[in-house]
Amino acid sequence: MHATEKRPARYKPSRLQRANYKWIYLFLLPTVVIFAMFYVVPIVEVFVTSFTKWDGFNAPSFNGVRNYINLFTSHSFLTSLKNLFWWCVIAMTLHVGFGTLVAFVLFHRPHGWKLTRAVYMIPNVISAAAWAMIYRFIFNDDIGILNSLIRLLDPDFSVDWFYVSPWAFWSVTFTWLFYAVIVTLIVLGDLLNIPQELTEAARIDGATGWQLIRYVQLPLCRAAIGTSIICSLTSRIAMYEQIALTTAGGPDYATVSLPILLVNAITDYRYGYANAVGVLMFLIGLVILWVVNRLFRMDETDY
Amino acid sequence: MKKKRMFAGLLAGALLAASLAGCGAASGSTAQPGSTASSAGAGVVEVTIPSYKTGENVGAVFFEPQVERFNQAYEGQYHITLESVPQDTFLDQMKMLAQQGELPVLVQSGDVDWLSNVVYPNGLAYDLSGWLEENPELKARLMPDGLAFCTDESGAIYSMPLATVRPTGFFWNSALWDTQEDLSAMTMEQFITAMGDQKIAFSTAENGWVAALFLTAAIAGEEGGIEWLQAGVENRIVDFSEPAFVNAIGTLQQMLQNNAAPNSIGATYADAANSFMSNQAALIANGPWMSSDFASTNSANWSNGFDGANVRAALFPGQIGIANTATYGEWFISANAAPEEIELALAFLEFINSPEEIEAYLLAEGGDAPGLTYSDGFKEEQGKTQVLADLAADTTADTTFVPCILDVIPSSVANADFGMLLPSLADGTFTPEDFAQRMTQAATEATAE
Repeated sequence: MHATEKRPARYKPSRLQRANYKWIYLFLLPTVVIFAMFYVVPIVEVFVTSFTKWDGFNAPSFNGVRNYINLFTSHSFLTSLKNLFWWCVIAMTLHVGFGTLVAFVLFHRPHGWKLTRAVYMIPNVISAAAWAMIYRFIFNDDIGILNSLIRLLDPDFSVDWFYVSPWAFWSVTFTWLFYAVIVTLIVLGDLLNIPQELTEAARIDGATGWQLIRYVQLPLCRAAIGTSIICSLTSRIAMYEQIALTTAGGPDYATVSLPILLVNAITDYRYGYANAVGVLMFLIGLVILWVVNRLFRMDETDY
Repeated sequence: MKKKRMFAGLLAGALLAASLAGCGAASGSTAQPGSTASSAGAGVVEVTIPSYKTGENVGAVFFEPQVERFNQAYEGQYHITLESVPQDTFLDQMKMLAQQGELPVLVQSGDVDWLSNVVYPNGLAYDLSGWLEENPELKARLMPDGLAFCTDESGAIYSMPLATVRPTGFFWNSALWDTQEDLSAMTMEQFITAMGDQKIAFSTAENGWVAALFLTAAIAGEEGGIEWLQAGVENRIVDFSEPAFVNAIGTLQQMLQNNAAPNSIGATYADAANSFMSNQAALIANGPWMSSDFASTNSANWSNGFDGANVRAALFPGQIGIANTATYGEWFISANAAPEEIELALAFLEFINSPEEIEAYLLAEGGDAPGLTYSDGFKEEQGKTQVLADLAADTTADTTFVPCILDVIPSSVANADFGMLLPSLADGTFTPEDFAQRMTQAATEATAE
C-alpha cells in the first residue's frame, strides 16, 4: 500500500443490518457449538494431555515434557519422521505431478478422454484399506502378479516386496502414488476456469502449445496445485491403513509412520504419549500449510 | 414479517436443540447393554450381553448354544440375550462403556493391563470371593494358579478364575509327514532333525502368532527359558538379552529359513491356516480350538486333497504346553449391576462352570480341567476326536505349562514390533542378537515413563 493512498473509511452497517445481527448469531450458534465440541475441545484436550502420563481412564498426571523427550529419543519416531519426509517429497513431486499431468491431458480432451477420466476416477471409490489388500496380492512373492510376470524372464526371481528393505518403502508408496484423482479434479477445475480471452490473447501473441501451458495455464493453476500439495501432504501425515494392512511399519521400521506409533502407544495405554504424537502431527500439518501457502502465494488472487 | 421472524427463531432454536440432542446421552430413554427388561408380570430377569462369540466367530459354535441351554435351564427366571460385537472392536467398546459407567452386567474378558489398572482398582467389577466361599464345590473346580492370580491382596476376586486350560501345541498332517515318533517327548533339536524339510505354515503378519508359538516352545527348550517366561507373567519382559531368548531366536530363524511354507513371510493367521488346510504345509501351531477346523463339517475350507482326518496333534518338544494358568478368567460382573442382575450373572457363571458344561466345552474346543473328575461318557467322546485325544494323551503330570511369549511382553511389542521384525530375521538381515537388541529397544520405548 502506498503512503499516499487513503485508508478506506470504516464500513458502517445500516440500522436494518444491525437489527439482523441477532439472527446471524443465532443461526451461527449451532455451527459454533458443534465446532467447539468436536474440534476445539478435543484439540485442546490432546494438547493438554500430551504433557501428562495418562492411561485413558484414570486421572492424568502432569509429567512436563517427558513424553516429548521420549519421542525425540525414540528410534521408531525418528525413523517415522524420516519416512514422512521422503513420502512428502514423493507426494509433492511425483504424486501431485502425475495428477496435474492427467488434468492437463483431460483438459485438452484427446480422443477417448471420457473413458480415461472414468477409469482414472474408479480407484477413488475403493477405500485405502481395500487397495492395501489388493496390493498385498500384487506384490506377493509366491502368487503376486508382479513376480509372476518377472518370472517369465527370470524363473528364479523371488522378492518379498513388502517385507524386504528398501523395497517395502516403495511398495507402500505405490499403494497411493498414482491415485491422484483429487489433485486432477482440483487442477482441472482451475484450468476450466481460465478465461477464454486470456488463452486467445496468448495465441494471438504467438504462444505455442508448450508456451501456453508454461506461461499461462500453469501459473494460473498455482493455487490449485498448492491446495493439492496440502491435501496430499496432510494425507501422508495421517497415512495409516495402507501401512497397517501391509507391512505394519516393518521390516525393521522401514515403513513406520506417526499414526502407527500413535496406535501402538494407545495399545500400551500410553494416551499421554499418543497425544504427544498427535500434537506433533498437528504441528507438522500447520507448518506444511504455512509453507505451501507462502510458496504458492495462495492468498493472492489472479483475476 | 413478525411471523417470519418467529418462524426463523424457532427454526434456529430447533437446529440448535437437534444438534445438541444428537451429541448428548439420552440416559433416560436409550437401552443400555445389560439393561434389565423384566417381562410384564412374568418376573423374568432379562439382560443383554455384548459378545464377540456370535455369528461367524469360531467361539460362537459352542457359546451361542450354551447361552440357549442356560436360558432353558432358568426358563421363567432368567434370560440372556446376546448382542453381537465384532471381536476386533469388542475391547474398545468395553473400554468406552467403562468410561461412561455403562458396563454390561457380564463382561467377557479384557486385556490384563486394562483389568488390573483400570477395571479392578476403580471398583468397576463385582467381588466374587464371598460367592465362591459359599460354593466350595465350584471353587474346587477352578485352577489353583488362576484362583491365586485373580485374588488380590485384600482377598477380593473380581475375575472369575478359569476351570479349564487349553494347552497349545501343534498339528501335523500325517498324509504329508507320517511320523510314528513321540514328538513331545523329543528335545527341540531332535524335533527339528526329525522334521527334516517338512514345511511349517508360519504366520508373521499381525502378531506373528504361529511364529510366536514355535518361539515360545524353543525358549522353553533352552536352559532357564521356562523360568524366564514364567517370570514375565508378573513383570513384563523388556530385556531380551537373555541367552535362552537369543538361542531360541536362532532356532526360529533356522525354522523360518529351512521349513517355512511358501507365503509364510507376511502371512496372517488365516493365510497360515489356509496353507495348512491346502496341503502346502505339514505343520501348524495353534490351540486345541482349531480341532473344529478338521471336522468333516468344515470340509468346505479344505483344498488340494487335504483331509482333516489325517491331522494329528502333539504338545511341543520337551512336554511343553503353551498356556497361562496364572491369568484372569473370561468373565467379570459389573459392580453397577442391579442385585437381580448380579444374581443372574452368578447363576450364569455357576452354570458354565458346572461339570456338564465344562465337559461339553472341552469336547467342543479341547483342553483340560484339572479340578474335574471326568465322566466315562466324556472320556469316550473325547477319544472320538483324534486331535483332542492326542493332546489329552500328551497332557500328563510331566507337562510343563509356559505362557506364550506374546503374553509376557508389552502389548505394542507383541502386537506390532514382533511381527514387524520377523521378516528381517527370516531373510538373514538380522542375527539373533540383532533381533533381541531390537526387541529390547522396542520394549524399552514402549514402557518409557
